[in-house]
Amino acid sequence: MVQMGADEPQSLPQCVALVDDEEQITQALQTLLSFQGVSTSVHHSAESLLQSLQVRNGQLCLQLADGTAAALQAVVLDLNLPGMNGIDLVLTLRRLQPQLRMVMITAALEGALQARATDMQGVKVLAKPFGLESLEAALFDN
Amino acid sequence: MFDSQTTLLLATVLFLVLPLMKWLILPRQGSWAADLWCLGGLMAGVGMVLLGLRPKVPVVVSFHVANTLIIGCFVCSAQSLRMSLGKHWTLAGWTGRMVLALLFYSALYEWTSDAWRGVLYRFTLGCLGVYTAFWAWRLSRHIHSLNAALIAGAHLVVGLSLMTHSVWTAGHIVDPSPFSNTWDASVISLVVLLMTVVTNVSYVGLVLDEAASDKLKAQQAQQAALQTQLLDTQLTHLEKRGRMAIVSGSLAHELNQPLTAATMNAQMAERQWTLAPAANPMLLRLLDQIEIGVERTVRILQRIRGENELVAQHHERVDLQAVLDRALEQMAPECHRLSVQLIQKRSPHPLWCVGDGLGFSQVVINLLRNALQAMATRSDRRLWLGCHAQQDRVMLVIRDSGPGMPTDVIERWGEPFQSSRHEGMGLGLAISREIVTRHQGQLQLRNHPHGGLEAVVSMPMTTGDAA
Repeated sequence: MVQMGADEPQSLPQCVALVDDEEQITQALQTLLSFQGVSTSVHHSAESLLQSLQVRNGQLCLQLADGTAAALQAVVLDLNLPGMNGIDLVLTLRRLQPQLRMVMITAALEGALQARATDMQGVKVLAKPFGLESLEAALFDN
Repeated sequence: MFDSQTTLLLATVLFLVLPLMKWLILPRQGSWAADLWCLGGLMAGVGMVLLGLRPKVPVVVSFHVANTLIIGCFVCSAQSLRMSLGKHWTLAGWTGRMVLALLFYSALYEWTSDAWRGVLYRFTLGCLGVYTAFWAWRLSRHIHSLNAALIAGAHLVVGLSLMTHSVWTAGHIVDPSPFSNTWDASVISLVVLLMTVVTNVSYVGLVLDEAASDKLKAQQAQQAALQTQLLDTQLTHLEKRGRMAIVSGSLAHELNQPLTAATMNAQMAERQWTLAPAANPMLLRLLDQIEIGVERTVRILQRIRGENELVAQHHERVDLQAVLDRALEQMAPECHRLSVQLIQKRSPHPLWCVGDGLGFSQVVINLLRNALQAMATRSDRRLWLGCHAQQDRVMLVIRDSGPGMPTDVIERWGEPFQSSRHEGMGLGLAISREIVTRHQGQLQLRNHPHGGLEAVVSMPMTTGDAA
């Protein structure tokens, strides 16, 4: 799934991957991050993101809409995705890049799945609907 | 040595008086068993009177009628006891046995000598005594009655005495009259007297025991019915609550998506306005109003969800085997209506889990109901039920002989937003899966290789003494 690219020594611009099957959510997230000057790559399933990933210079990268490549800085993902769910996506991404920042957004009624997500170390979980500040804090604060 | 004539006379009087007294004093319960028992006693009494009158009345009366009456006494007693156990002969059974008895009696009379006839007659009486004792013993086990055991003992003694006597005198000509004064006749007459007293007194006790046992059973049945009714009401309530929980959860889930987008968009619009204030100051107030409205909607949704929690907070130790038994009792009328063949493979031990007992019942009933619905239109209706321990988990397997599930449905079953689109895939499975998952369990469905749908519930097992 992950394509290996040629090593490129120069540092790449950064981007945030947005994974949610709800168009409205990805659009709002995209608008918010574009105001912040952050490039985004939108995916509606875990499989779509994994297929687009490349490794360059030991770093996970994505090709942006304008054709340029950008280093993956963080991932905002929905818990309940069609096909592979959010938890499995987190586990896969963590294997590929252990330090990758990930923010999980969950709607109501994910019961046990939500409990598992909350228990995962290093993943910030935000319950929908959330405010801009909490999302920004989860994405950018140390 | 006892005077056998006096002893038998006394027994005869008792046989005539005691059944009549019993018949008059025993509480009338619309039961034929007590009437039959009293009739048997009277028959023995009259039979013995006729035997005693042997020199004075024709042989037909003193021999044939008397013997028939005495044999009839044992038959009535045995039948009365069988009636109390609910295992009485049918009319055809009665007729067949009577015809056989008459044929046997005629053959005996036609083809045997006086000596052998007496032997066979006593042996037959002995066998009937043991037979009656057997049914009295079964009754004593069934209703735990000492009186029935005493009746069994008395009949066994009489039966064995008569059989022993018949074997001992086999081939010898003995005076066929029990009123003769030989020592063995004295022993038999004493045994008969004792039997008369013991059985007649004990029978009164037995009737009282039966009445007490019936009362206890009625109370237990009433209690069981009440419990079933209570469980039924609770389950109906839970079913409604489960549906509400899933529906309100689905609603919250679906509405949360646009609400999240609306919140973010409103907040972003507000930021944009702050950066470059628009010409119309009303805009900011309107954006505020949108945010307040969204927040309020979210709070309402949270409250609706909170009021419709799926699983009770109270957790207890629950035996899944008992849960399955109760659920089967609940579904028994439906199983019976559909003539479903149950094939069970169960652990002989209780299998304990910790959780919401009613929730577990709801899961099992949902799965059983699905299985029965799947088989409703099939001619072959078999239900396989398994409950056993596997390492540290309790496995409950329910398989039907229905058509199974289409592959695309089975892949996405139990998802509340998917399942409702498919007929027959109601919210029941979604509720069940949610309950099981909230107990750290798993509910899996698969099409069995030999046909039908198989549901497997796997729950963490707890030890017998953990609370």
